[in-house]
Amino acid sequence: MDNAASGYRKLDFSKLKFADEPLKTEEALKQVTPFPVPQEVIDGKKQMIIDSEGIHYV
Amino acid sequence: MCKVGDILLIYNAMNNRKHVGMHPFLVLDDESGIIRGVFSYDFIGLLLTSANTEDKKKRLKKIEGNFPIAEDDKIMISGKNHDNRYSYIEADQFFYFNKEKIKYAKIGRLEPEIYNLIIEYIEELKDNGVSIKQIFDKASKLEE
Repeated sequence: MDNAASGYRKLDFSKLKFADEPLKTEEALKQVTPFPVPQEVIDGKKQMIIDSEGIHYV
Repeated sequence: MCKVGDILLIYNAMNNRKHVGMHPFLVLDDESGIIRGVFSYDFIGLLLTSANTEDKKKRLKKIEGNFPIAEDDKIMISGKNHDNRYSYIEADQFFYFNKEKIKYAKIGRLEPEIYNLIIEYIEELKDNGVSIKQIFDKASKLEE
């Protein structure tokens, strides 16, 4: 099933403006607070689903 | 195998040969390609981030490229309180990944209703004066 059939829109890259210089991963993650992934999700016992109501662990 | 809308946990993000922990990413685009004529990649990811203090919440809220996915999460898992945490997708930073350079697992998905809003948001960033930053040190340099 392609993205359109599954309801996911394709990003139109022609509408974007890219910065001239690339970032290093280190710079990009420098001030990031790691997103707290619950252990049950890491262990594969639950899935993380994000919808319009927020984040669910099911 | 990953596809658009998947949430992946990427385990071995490293910088200067140091582990910087694991981070969840949204698969924004699952078509492989070549970036700047030099690096090949399998997919593009967007970082999920969150704030657990008032200062961080204020700071993340001000960043134009951040797309909010949850306010005041009410999550209590394994006795650890994640309550009152704001979460965002960093929509103005594209991470280009080659699967051979990372260790990852699929941990969930983002539903189309939200994904499509993020796509619209990204496409409007240019009009709001925001340039997309590209990170491709997790892509593979092509042989010369």
